[in-house]
Amino acid sequence: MYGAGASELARAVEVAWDWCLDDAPGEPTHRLRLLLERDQKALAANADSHDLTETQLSTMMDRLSPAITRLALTERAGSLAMFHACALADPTSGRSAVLFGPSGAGKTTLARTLGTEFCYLSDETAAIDGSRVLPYPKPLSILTDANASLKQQLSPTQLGLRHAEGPFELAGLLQLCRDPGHRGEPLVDELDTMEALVELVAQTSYSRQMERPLHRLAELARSVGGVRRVTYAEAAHLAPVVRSLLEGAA
Amino acid sequence: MRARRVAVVDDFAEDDRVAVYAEDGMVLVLSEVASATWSALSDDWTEAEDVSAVLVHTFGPPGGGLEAIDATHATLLALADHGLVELAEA
Repeated sequence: MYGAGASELARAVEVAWDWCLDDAPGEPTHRLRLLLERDQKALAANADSHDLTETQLSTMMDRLSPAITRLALTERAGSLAMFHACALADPTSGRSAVLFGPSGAGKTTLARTLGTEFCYLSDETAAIDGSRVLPYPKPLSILTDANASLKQQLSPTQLGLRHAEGPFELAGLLQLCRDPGHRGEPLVDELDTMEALVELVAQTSYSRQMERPLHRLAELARSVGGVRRVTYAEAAHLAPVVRSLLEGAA
Repeated sequence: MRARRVAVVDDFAEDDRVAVYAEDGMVLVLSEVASATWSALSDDWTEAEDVSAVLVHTFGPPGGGLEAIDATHATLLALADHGLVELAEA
């Protein structure tokens, strides 16, 4: 980290990304050069030699999150099944639910709402290695002020989310279909394999790089008794659905 | 007419249906007839008549007074439109 704001940025990253910090880091596979500098001239003079440059901490933190996620996804392209998903785990058994869906499906809201009862694994990417879910407990992007244009990057610690050590076994795949007009309890449907494959591929990063992606995704779906779709309005309403999924009763 | 499969990322068959992950990134779930047609093809050229024979054996003759070979041609053209097969004159 560089620039007059380097120390401030370092502190902010340590706080927001505290669940992702590595106690015993080896040689990094990637480096992001960040420049936080309020002096516009200094910024302009050094922009080319940095990956991200900003004058404001909040903007830098907002851009940093997707930049790190992209690097992580690229690094593991083809080797892991990586879903655009929120992932939550049972704190006792480690059984994990992957709730996948596009932007706007409510993944971050679900993570924030349900991540106090269940363990928070991610609000963005659920990476599956064999049958294990690998946590990516990044900061959650939350709009803390209705008048603000930028979301804040809040650590799971700051949000009081639940942590567990793992390991985490995949127990359920749930496609999110958020409908603010939906009334009553969430509606859960089972997808047939073919429909599930279409939906899963759409929310899988770098699926083309996977070996036989359709077969791999079909096998994952089969291992958890199939993929379900849930139509819901409010995140809190999904707690019983997730609970059932993790208990193996859904 | 003859046809052959184009290269795809993956294809997955279950029951009587096939899902094909095309090179353009789309995943297409084929109808039963299209699935059987796909399964009857390979990377090598196959005559439409041979594909037609497989389809008639599997599903019986097409209805509506349609000739089996014409129905097969239509299916092959549809698969070609989706970029899954390559067609050539016999």
